Amino acid sequence: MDAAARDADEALVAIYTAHYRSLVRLSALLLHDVPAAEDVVQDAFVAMHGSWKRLRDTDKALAYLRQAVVNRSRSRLRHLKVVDRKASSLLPADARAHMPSAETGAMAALDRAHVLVALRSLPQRQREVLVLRYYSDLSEAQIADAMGISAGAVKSHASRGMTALRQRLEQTS
Amino acid sequence: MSADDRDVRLEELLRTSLYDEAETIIPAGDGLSRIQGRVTTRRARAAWWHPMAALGGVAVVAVAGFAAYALTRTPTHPNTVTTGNVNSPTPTPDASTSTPPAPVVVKPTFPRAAFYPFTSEAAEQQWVAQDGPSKQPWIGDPELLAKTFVASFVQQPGVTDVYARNVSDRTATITLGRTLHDGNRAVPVKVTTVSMVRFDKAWLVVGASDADGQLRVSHPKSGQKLASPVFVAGPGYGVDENVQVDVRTVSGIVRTGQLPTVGFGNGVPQWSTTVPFAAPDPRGAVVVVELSAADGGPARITAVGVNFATVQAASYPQYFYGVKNGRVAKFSSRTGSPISYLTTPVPGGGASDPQLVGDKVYYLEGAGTCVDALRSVPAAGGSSTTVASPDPGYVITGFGVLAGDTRINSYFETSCDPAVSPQGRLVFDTIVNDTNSQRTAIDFDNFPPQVVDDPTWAADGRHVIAVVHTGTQAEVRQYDAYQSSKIDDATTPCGSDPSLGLPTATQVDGSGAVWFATQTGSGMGVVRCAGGQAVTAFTVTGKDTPADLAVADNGQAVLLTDTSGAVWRWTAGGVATQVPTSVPQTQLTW
Repeated sequence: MDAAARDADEALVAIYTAHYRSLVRLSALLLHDVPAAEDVVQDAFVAMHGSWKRLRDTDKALAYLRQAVVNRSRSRLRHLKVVDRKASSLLPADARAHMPSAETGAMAALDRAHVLVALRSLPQRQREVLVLRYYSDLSEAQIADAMGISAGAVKSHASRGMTALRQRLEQTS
Repeated sequence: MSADDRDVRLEELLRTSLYDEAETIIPAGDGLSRIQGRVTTRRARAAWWHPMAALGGVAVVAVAGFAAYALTRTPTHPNTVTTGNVNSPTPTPDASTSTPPAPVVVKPTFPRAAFYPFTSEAAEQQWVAQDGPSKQPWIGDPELLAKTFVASFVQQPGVTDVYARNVSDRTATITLGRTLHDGNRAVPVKVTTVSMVRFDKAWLVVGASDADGQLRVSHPKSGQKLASPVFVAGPGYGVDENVQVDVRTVSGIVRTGQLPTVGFGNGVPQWSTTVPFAAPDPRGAVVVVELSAADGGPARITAVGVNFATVQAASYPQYFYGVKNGRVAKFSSRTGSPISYLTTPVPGGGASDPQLVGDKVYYLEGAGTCVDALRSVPAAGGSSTTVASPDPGYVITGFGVLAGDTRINSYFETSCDPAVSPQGRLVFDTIVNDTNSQRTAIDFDNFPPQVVDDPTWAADGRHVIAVVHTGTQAEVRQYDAYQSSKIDDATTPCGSDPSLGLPTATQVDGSGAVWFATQTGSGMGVVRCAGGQAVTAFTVTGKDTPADLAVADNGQAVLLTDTSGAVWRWTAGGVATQVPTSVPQTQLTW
């Protein structure tokens, strides 16, 4: 095995150790399917290993992985058609059944499960931006890089996503 | 509530929802081996593809090559199959010179919650290879394994009566109990139900629960990854109950402090404690045992399998606690982004000086002119309570709470009227004879001298370390909380080396080392002092004045703030980097 291949192998292990779990969680938050998320991230790591000669830098590799995970998660959703189309217009009955009354304060009493249900009902790009911003703690520039869109588009998706999220939650309170 | 408040609340809710959801996602442990397997397959394929490609190829051979690839691809990744291009020069592998990669066989994954008697597939395989099934047949028998687990791992021999046995091909539960002796009576009692799963030729324990369902552990969750110390909690029940909480692995007890015994009952909704540990193994269990008041033997046993986070020298706590909008808030240590509020808004006042002690955040809460109090709020969220109040006409300007016994605290109170003497007092709220509270104080008649920033408790739980400014000078002093009665009735545990700079804030870490921030001629410094030796750990150049420092319990990470609210994060072996906080932070904690 040559030095470049050894370098790629070592980088793979190091980056896996540091970031595999968080990337699986990122993908799982987008896909809502943990085994599929593991497949997506493993695909991304194999691709990253194959591109190591070009990357040769951990930060670049992590940016590459994020982009690959977001893209592959999106492809997986499209391919498997697991997007819950019903969720785009209303929350499931079981979620509504546990919503607090309006008297208790709509925002204050909403629990986390309802937020996740509402998040999953958002358009895909808005959901991706919100997950990358509020779970991965990425800057607008990093989100733009991961999604392959402009920083302005990130702002737009984030703003619309938060507005839509609030509306979905308030509709059910 | 304003629109801005609603935005902030929604952002907090979304962030905590995503974090909590993410915490429940535990990838299988075979990710790396799967990736490496695919990389090896790909490399092997390239090894025979490249030489033959140099020779050129024909379409029919490409089909054969694709067929070989199709045989070798991992069946769990249907989307990775690429269609063969009949026009491309893809040759067939030459069996005489190279061997096509073998099909990848996906083996059963080692159960992620298993912690006894093996914690890895390799250990189980070694046991099989060494003829373990013949030599240690109890590992292959769920009933014998359950008894051995309770006797050896939990260290409660005598729980050997089998009350229930439920065994399938893959899973097993065995309920064990014993005979309880209460005076002249002998009462049979169920003690625990041991849950196991089968892997290869072995049965593996994944947890144990109280057979009656009373003694439950709500935190940590099964399979959760933990760093020391672990916060352990469960719902209360009964009357005057006592449980012992321990952390164990196959290597034995890995708890590093005293065995915590927690009392509860009489309507107390939750019991909790914090247990420090140093685990040499990747997995283990939090074990909670209730001992019978009748005969001292085990009455209930619960065990939760957990994973242990690898402690890295250059790690730092994931969160810190600071103040935003006059409320105690939790922040990301990496990005400085706010995550959630812990306290509610207070009209005419606000929170300041948060300090994390155990599982609570202590802070000062102002409530109008010349009124404040030392309060606490659970770090996990909940109601806040008042811990101490200053004398009338005084406000608390700095405080420290003893980590080992939060009934004990010390604070410096300052008169609101500069004409009043004493202008300040260093107060010690202590406990004598283990039950009686005692309040003593050292008067600071006129400033200077005065205590700046927070007093902090030394590791012995008896002495209080404080930075005392004496005009143009300052030093780190140590007072005896039970005997000191005057300003100069103190020692200087770190000496008085002016080359280190002017001390402005101090804190003691879990090992007892004293840390203090200093202002130097070229900026700020943070000094670590242990065994009488004071050494600068790191510096920040500039004209800033240190305001506060927070030292991680393991002494491996420090947060330093300046009076303008900028925050620097330092980890052992590294350099200080500024944290891009969204709001200025002069006082914080982690």
